[in-house]
Amino acid sequence: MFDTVLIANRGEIALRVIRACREEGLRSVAVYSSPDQEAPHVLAADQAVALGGTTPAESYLSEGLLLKAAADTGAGAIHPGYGFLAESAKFARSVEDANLTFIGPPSAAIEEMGDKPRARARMVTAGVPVVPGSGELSSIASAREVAEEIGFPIMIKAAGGGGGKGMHVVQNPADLKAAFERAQREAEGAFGDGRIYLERFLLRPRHIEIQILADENRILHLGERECSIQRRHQKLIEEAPSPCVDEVLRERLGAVAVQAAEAVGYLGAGTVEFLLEGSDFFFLEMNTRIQVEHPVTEMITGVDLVREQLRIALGYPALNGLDAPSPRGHALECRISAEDPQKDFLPSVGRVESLEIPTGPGIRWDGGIRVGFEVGLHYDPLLGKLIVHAENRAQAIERMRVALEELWIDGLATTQAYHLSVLGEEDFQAGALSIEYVQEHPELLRLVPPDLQKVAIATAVLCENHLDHEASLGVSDNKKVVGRQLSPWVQAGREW
Amino acid sequence: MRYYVGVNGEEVQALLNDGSLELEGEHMSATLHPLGATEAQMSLDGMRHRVYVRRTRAGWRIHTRGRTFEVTVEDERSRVIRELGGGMASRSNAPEVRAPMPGLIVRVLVDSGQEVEAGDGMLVIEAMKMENELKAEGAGLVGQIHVKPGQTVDKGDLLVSFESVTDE
Repeated sequence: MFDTVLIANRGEIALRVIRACREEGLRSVAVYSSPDQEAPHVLAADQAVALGGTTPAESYLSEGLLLKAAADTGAGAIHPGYGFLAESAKFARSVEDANLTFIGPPSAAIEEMGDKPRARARMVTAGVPVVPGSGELSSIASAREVAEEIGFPIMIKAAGGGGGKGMHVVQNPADLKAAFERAQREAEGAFGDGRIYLERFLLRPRHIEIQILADENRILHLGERECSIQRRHQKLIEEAPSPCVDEVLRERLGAVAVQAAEAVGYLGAGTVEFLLEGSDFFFLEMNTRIQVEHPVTEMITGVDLVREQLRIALGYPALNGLDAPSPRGHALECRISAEDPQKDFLPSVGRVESLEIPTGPGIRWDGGIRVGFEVGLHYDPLLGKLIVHAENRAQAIERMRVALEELWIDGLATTQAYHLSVLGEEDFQAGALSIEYVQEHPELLRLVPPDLQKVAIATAVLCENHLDHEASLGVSDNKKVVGRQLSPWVQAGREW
Repeated sequence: MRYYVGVNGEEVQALLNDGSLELEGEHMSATLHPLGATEAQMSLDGMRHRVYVRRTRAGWRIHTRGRTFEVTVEDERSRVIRELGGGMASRSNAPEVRAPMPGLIVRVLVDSGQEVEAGDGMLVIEAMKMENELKAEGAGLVGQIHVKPGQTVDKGDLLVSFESVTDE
């Protein structure tokens, strides 16, 4: 048992955990790097411990400093959030060895799921469908044999690779030899490891994932989320339920996800990710932690997943022993990041000069910033998540649009406008999604609504006119023209 | 007053007369009601819009309904001056330096008769809370200096003349 939780994280998820601790009557301990000294999670927690350092390695990834902070504050449990050490089996084991509670699954389960080839083999044994493919391939002859068996198109991948290098789609048997040799050369050149394997190429699949809750006695699922709107494997918009999952498919996916969790002795909250092609689905991976997009499940089920994590760690049964509630309505989440979609999602840095958070029925903001906070380059660019809940998907889209129009973060470029463009696009509105969506809709990056551009032009012209006007009037009155005590805007925008 | 407006890589012309704005052939009433340091209510033909405004180095950053626009605005007179070769954006053999904006002369960095190289600071002018150093666009011999520190100048005012210009 524990009464104090150390949160080994920062930003919106640290704040989210602090809130859940408060509701559960637990004390919270924040940790922080030097630049985060006045970050919102530090200000919100009951206690805060300086880790020093700037880079993640010097601070939020420093296992020794985190364990010492827990010991110094009497924290009996550590919540890792997501990212940083959340899926480090080694860290979870250190926490266990220090006789503290790791708020997550046992380190052995993290280890099982963390090693991707091993997890894949484990899932095959457990009867969970994986993308059909081969083991390591030694010759073009064996590649041809496997390819004929699973059918074209196929994808050739480097066994030691990642990041798209050495990956080739082969549409028909005639191209296999050339692609095989090229992939081998590239894999050798890029990774010093020429081993390759092949998988069936999934055609415009959708990303569907199942939320799991497991206690000592049972594992239950809370339905799916769809996260097909992603860029370079970074999710941008998530929703629940998925517009393409019916009750039958939901039960099939749920049963398989529970099977996957059972296979590794899972405990707590977790997510089993699938790729869906038509009505076929394939295990992708299991995330052994709370996920960024957990709120959409919370909105439609009414379950507080983070509080459930705490309660399961305290030894209570999941959902107090009740069945999973039936979902109601539709929820959407837009990740608001400090990235500029007009500049290929380049990270933007700066000080948050002002902040207006939308509100109203069914609107939720899980944020990690405040006015005056400097957003730097050392950490994840996620500033906050805008989440809405409504009676159905169409209404949720409208609600999100209105909320996004109200949101205003002054001081840095964000992904806000891009989300608005996606919400207004036909395929998105029709629920015709795939993980290729962002690439297939490049026009959305630069979309400009003409009516709003007109408003912007008129505003700028009136501001400029006012500047000129004031200057010509104010020659005898220096203060008026260059009044130091006034902000630039007041000088520019005072009514005349 | 006629304005040349740059937005999204395009240029449009706007004509502003007494609260009436003509934009690409369309006439509309336009009033701006400031609400605070960076916020205002823009009214276009009676339709109200919440806008957030920031002065930037290049012009204005306007945010409205989830969208942000970078807008540059140049009035007719400034454009004429610029095209004649005066002001900050003049050609390298500029015979003079003109004020690119209304503001306050903070410092004069050169003396009459001084040789300057391209890029040398000539004057510092303060406008919109920002100090802007006006640099020599080319090499030459400084002639008459027409302003003193503390003096307020209008856009386009002659600040420094050149005695002679060094050929490149």
